[in-house]
Amino acid sequence: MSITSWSFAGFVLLVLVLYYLLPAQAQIPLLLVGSYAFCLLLGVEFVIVLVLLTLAGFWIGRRLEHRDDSARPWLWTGIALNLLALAFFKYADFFVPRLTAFLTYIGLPASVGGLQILLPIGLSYYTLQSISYLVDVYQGKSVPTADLVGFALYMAYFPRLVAGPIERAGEFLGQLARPRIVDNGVVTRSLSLILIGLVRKLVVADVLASLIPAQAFRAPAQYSAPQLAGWLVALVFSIYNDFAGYTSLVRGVSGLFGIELSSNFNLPFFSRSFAELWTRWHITLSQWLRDYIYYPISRRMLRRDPSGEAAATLFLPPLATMLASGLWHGAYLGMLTWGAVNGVFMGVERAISLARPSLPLDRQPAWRQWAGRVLVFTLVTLSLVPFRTSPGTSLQFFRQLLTWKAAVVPDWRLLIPIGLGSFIDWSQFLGQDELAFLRWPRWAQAGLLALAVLCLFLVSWVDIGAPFIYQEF
Amino acid sequence: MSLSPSGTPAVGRGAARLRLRAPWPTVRALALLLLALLAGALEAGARLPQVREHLRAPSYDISSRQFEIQWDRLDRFAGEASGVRCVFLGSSEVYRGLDPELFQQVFQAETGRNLLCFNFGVQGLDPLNAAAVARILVDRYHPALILYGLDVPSFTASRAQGIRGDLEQHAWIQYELGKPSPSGWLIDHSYALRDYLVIRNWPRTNFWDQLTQDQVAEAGTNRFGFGPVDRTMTGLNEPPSPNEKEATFSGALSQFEVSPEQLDGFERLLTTDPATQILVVEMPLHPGFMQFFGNGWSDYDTGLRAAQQVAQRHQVILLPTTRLSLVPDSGWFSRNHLNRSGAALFTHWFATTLAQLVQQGKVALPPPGPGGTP
Repeated sequence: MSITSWSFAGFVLLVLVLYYLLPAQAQIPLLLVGSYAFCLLLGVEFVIVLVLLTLAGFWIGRRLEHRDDSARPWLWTGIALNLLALAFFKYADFFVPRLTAFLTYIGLPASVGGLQILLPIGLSYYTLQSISYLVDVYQGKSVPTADLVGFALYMAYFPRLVAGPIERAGEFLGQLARPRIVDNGVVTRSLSLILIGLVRKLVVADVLASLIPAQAFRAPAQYSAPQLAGWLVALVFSIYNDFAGYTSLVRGVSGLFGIELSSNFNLPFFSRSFAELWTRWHITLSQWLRDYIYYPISRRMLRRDPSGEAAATLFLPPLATMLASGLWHGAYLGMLTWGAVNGVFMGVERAISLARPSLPLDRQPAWRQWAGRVLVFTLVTLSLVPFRTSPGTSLQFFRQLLTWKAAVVPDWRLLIPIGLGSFIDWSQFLGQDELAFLRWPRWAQAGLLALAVLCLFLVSWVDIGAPFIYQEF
Repeated sequence: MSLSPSGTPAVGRGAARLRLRAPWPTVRALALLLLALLAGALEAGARLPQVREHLRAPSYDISSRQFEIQWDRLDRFAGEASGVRCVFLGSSEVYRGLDPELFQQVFQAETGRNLLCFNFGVQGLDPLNAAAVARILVDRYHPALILYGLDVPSFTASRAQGIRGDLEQHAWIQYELGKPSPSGWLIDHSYALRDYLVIRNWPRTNFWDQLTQDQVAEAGTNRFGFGPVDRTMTGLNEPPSPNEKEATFSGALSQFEVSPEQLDGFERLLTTDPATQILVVEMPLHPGFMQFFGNGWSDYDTGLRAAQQVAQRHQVILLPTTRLSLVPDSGWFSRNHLNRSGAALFTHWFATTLAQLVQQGKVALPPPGPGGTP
């Protein structure tokens, strides 16, 4: 069941009606039942993994209450369990064939091929949630919850199950504990988020994805540099709008239940530096990586090098963090390359800022801020080539990009969805609010609403439906 | 309830409460009004004859563009002739092989009576899909006579040859067959939507190529639905080539079995409506085509016999042709399609044969009336 389908809309409506009809004590259990039902619709085996990891997380969390030496092994057990689940379900198909090849190479008998293991839906997201809960409890940032139903909902909450956002237990369970008032303002904001999400996904992301030929990133030598450049920009807009659309949609759905989910995007194409970019792109994952990988490594490095100027101190934390990000996205050499490249970007940026200290971003002249935006966008766009294809083909792609001899121009149709996506971003940027549209005059809001509905109606006749990119990770 | 520094509750739940007021939904009402105005303007524009003459054949959201082109031609034909008396129905073999104008001339010369048919031949229209089309044709235009061109290979249990997906799955076809749906209703009633559907696949990478192909198909179909081809194939008796088209035939026919579903479709077609007389003519195949069947003529005869039995059961005339060698090698542009000269020979034979059947009283010609002379 895709979350852009009518069946999902019907499912949400049914759960919503029951949610508000039932007494307060039954609302959270109902959401949990609804979440497991949603998961069941996606696959029975997915529920088993989810339940096991939920029970383990809850039980181990209780063991961490005293935060003494006896708790430490439990913390590592909990982390290991989640990482093992990730490794087994997500990475076995990558590592096992390579291990087999290696064993064969050194003369040991090995005959295990690819295991063809199905990745349980949402595993990459709820395992990170479980780890963050355990670490936060161990570090005293949170207390372990005694509410199994609440914790199970934290892990399985259906609007965010498929592809996040990656929530923190403290905030999520706190919301369940507080009264949740859903008034006209909340409903309007939630419906607006849903509409923006649908437009981003169906009108911008899916249309762009459909306009990029599959061969562009498989056999780039067939195409001219302007064509490849056009498709590369389209790819960036497609990935961004796909995931931003998904997040907006699920935040809107969750808002109707009175539960606010974290934002994952904050105008990433307006980032003036790489450090800023990762506070604006896939924010909840970036924050997770920052808190549980970047900071611990940085602290350790700074203990050895208090000045923080050694190359290892500058480069190792971002490199390790971005490699982990690449690995999380998928165990492919291309993803790891993407991670490494972005880690290097961050390291270089940090080294430059140490060598030539400059004003804070907000106080820099406008031209410099825009130059930063253009530079970050360009480099991030180029770094997406290995995100999409193998390192070998990426090299071919870059080589072809530098061969500006053919006069074939990019496909002008790309401008339609890119223009629409940019219009949404630009309006949000000018209004400094993702729902800046709600402050527009009523006639303008009505015009925009009519346009959005018309666009959705028109694309509904095109058979280009694609799954959300980030639900595959 | 204890809270952590970041707010994790140990135990405890709050309630969710709806507190909705009922304000005048100005924005939504305005948006609805705007949409209605826009839709109305587009619809009115799409219905203007001055606009229509510049537009392509409308689309019904059906995977076969040729079907849509034929339907547009049929609509225009029916408009000009105030109805449809007679339809040639079948696959591409009918589309390429039966010329309604020549048919009318020959038939008139033989009988002194006028019979102008519309050629509703569509590539890949197998008996199962043809039954659905016949139903819609009869309900909408009430033709007195359907001359169905039997394509024996389309009886194969392998569906490789048929129109991509069943025609009956499409919302508009379902709507026409009496299963209402919002999409079916919208397509049936909105000119503007049907015109948009022509370009609905604009975000596909192959859109321009497809548009060009559709343009060629549209230009190659005359106002009677006939699509003649002037090319001639050489080497008709040579072994099948590995090209895509011939490989498709080999794949579909090498283990030929008669599909019960196709046979059932054929039976439904023959019993579409008591008021519409149906006559079946076997569309000729070049003997070289038999190489595609695993067991050659034997497989072909199995299919033909199955069709003959059904036709006999319903007392429908089935005219065999393939063994008559009606068309010389110069009359084929592929092993199963006639070219213009082959189509002329076959059409002539068919018109003469039908004229004889009429004169013998075996076929009752529909009374003269609207639909005969556009």
